[in-house]
Amino acid sequence: MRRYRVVHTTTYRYQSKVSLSYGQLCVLPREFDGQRCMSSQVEVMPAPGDTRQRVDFFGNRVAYFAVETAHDTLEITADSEVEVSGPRPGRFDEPAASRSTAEAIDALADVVGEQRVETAHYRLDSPRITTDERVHEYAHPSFDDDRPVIEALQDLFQRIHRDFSFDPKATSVSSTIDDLFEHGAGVCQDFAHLAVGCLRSQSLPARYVSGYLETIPPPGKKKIVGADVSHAWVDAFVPDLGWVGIDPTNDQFVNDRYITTAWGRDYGDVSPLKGVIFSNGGKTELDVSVDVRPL
Amino acid sequence: MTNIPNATATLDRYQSTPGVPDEALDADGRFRDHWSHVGPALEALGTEELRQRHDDVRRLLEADGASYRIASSPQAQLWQLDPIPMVLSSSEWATIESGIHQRAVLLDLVLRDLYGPRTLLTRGMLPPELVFEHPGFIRACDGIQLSDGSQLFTYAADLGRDGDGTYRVIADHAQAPSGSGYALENRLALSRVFPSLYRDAQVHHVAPYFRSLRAGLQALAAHRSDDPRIVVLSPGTHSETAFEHAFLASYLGFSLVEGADLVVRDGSVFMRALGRLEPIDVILRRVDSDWCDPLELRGESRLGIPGLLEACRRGNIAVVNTVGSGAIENPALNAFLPAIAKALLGQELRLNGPDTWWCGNPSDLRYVLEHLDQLVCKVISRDEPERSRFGASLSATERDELRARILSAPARWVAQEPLPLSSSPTMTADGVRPRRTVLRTYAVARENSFTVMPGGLTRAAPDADTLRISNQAGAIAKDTWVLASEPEQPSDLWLRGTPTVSDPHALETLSERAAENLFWFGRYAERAESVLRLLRAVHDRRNTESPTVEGQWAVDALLQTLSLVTYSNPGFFDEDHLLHPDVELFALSADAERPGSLAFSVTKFLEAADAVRDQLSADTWQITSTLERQLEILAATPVHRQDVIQGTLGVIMQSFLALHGLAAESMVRDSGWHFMEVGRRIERLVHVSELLRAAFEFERDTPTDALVLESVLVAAESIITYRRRYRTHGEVETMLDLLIADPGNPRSIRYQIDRVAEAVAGLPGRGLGGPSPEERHVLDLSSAIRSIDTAALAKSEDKQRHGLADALDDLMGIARALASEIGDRNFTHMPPQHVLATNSFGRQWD
Repeated sequence: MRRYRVVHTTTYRYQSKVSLSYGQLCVLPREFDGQRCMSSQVEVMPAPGDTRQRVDFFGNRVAYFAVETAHDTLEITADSEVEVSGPRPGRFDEPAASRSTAEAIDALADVVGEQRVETAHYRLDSPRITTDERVHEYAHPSFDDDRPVIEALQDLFQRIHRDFSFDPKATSVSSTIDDLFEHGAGVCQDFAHLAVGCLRSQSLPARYVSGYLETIPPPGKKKIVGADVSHAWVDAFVPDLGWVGIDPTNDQFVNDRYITTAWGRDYGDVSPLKGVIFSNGGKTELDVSVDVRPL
Repeated sequence: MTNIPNATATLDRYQSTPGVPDEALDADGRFRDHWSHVGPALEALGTEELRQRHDDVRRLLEADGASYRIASSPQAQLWQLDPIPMVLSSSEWATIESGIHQRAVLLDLVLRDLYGPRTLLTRGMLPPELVFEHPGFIRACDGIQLSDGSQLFTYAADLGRDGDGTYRVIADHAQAPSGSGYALENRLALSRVFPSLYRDAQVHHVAPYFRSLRAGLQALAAHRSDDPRIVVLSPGTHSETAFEHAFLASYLGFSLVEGADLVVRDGSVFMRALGRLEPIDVILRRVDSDWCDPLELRGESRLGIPGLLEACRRGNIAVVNTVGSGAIENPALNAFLPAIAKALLGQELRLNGPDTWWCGNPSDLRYVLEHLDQLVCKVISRDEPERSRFGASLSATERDELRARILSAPARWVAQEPLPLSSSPTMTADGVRPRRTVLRTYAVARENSFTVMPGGLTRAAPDADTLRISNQAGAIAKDTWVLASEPEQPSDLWLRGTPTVSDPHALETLSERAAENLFWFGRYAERAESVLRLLRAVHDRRNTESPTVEGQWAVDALLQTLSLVTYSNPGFFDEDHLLHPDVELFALSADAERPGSLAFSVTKFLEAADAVRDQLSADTWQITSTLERQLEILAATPVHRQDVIQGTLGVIMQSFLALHGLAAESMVRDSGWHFMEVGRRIERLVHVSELLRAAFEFERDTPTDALVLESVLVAAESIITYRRRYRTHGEVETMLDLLIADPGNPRSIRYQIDRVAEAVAGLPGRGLGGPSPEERHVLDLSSAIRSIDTAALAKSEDKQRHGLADALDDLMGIARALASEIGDRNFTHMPPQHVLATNSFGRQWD
């Protein structure tokens, strides 16, 4: 069990005045088995004329706001305290974990009712993830019929970690899986999209998860405030075991240092901030600072 | 089709196609019972008369401006309506009506469930993939419903006959069903062209449907207001069915708006009305779901309103059809609806789709792949281009490609038994011929039930072989006559309606966009007319003048005046153009791309008119369609055909005269009219000033100036008065009296200033206290015109009339300042909409 305080600040500086701004924020930690949100608040500057929080289709917490006064800087701060208990201990020792991939896929047929409906979203292609031939071929070697499904998952995130290098300049927020293949490099978002695509290509439901990861400074160095980042990883659905988090960016299964904000079919469902502004254009400077502090 | 004369041949020797059931004729070639009145009556008219009536239909549609836009074509085209109606018997209609009613009720329940508890999915009555693969299912709309918990407000179904003659549902429409307005227009046209036939046939009226629509819209916000504000949200004048949006808005008495006219504040929707925000309660949506809210849906959309979904969630606005309703426009549903009808309604489904196999189901997929050559395969979403593939007409290679596509995403594919469809007698170039027809029927929700329009929009294929019938592919509409078993009571939208609610704010609910368009409507109409008058005066001078030196000089002076007035540079100050003026003159008439030309101003005028269709009298459309046609003729005419060009210019002039008549006699003096009027008066003031300045700043020899003066008076429509008043000869001073200072001459600058003053007083939002900025400009104009001494202005110094030029510049300067002041104070232009950039980078952890 770990406790964290997460402060996520997004600042926009506009070259020309913005007369009206609408936003939808998705950066508040959600609650589920394995995580509780002790407190959270959102502050928008200048103060919005209207704001409201709700839970979206996927169960994520989103905040709507409308700033109706002219402004040239918009600052949004989400400040939350979270308690993470992490995945269920001993789950990989359960019989479902040692099933072969083929057996796991067969077991999907027995998933019914609400779980069947919930997982159905995550089996299909989504706007940013198309399971084309290339994805299928890339995934294939990990999902050897005899290999236990948990090992297959591990093999997949290890291969992605090994085959692609981390380079924030290689891709952008709107990059596709094809772009990742082409550049051989990307960021957590791209790796997560590829991993989701690979799992779906094998008929396993998989979802894109956004959140934060506690970073540990190198020995002897002090942790720098705001130097953390938002992160993205993947949940794979294994019948009778549930959702198993894998992080291809960091080559590991998800643990209790991962703080979850939201999940969806792909980045588009959980984008931390969507916004529409009215202005005469010009440059926009975007500054994001994230601080994840163990309590 | 060969046409063999035959004893039982009827209706212009009409014969149905062998093997295709016909709506009018039975298998023996005799009129069916329900055609026993209409058939022989049409037959008695004969082909020639029927063609005549077809022309009458076209003229009526043209007069109403009934148009339709093919997506690939830049120009709207005339709505195509066949003179022969589709006729349905009272008993068959009863079956259809009850089927449509049941299906609407059922699909409403399905929608409520899909955006609510989704028990149809958890209970396994609908496979989740079938719903989730469909782009019409919009996750952001989860939980949004109307105040009474319902979801489906208007519903339309395309019906076609199967081999047994039973009607089947070819397509369900719930996104924003179109065509009901065209159905009404069809009825208005056909009942005027066949008045006695229509009356005697005892046809069900369609007006009650629109009364239900109106009452239903009002009921949607009954919990919020006794007098809810309702708008029709259109994607704009370039939409395929823009005519219908405006037609419905004005028929129902609602404002026609575009996304940019609306804004979300405090979670509610407002219209940017003149000078303030007007709360809106109900939106009749004709913008597709995806485009409705750039915040949550397609970010690039300029057709929607950011925050609209949030306002829907809070119940502060009723948007119908609800955003996301397109989820049930899914042909795969047909495979599951019969069982759902039993489960939810305890009833057998009365109106089925064609036999349907959903490829997401493995056994269906197997069947489909084995029977590809007998089925029609479709992608479940309507967004896909080329969506229906008729297996029978595919080559082996194409079939293999289709198989591969289906296998790559089976849940996205559905296959159906093709429907043979029935044919109906339809007027073609070769006479009356059988064409396959599809009937679109409409239902609107009303007090927990649905009202079905008795009739609908029938569409006939453009040629003998076509089975896919759509307006985009050139279908021809037919009015749909449902025969009543007893005579109908007279009926119109306003009879027996809901209690009258007077709208004291009606005058002020003009949107800023509408006001601005009316302002430019006035300005461009005047600009076009002014240029036209000058073009004609130049033409007359060129043609009537004997070839004297002075005559040529006068022509040259007038050509250069024309260049100055139309801001053409160099225009006729270029020697070549002056020597051979025809090409440049033609461009000034016909080149719609050239600012300042007649065609440019007329085009701009038509755009402005289109944007405020709902504000204008129906008679306006006769004028605008004439203008559209004349522009086409003009653009296609060779430069040397002066006869055609002058004829066309004459028709355009008549159109503008008729327009002035309408503006004077058919428009209420509300804010909209005052915007139009002030635009028109400012424009005329500027034009007369430009004309006088261009023609008379420099003094020429007396004979030349006399000729120029005469032409200018012609162009300024004041020659007759001038001749009557100053019988002797033309003088600049007396001309200036008449064209600048005379308060009684409707073409004088003084007259325009007086009218501008009145129009400005009629604009909305005049505050108390001192004069508004607009009124200050008007005062400046009045004092400037009063201080003018025409005798002094007529005097020149070194052949130049400095005083005249300065005085006119002064007037034009104030008038232009007034125009921009009106713009700035009334038409706030929102800065452009942008999507906020976002970012999410991860970093390696080590």
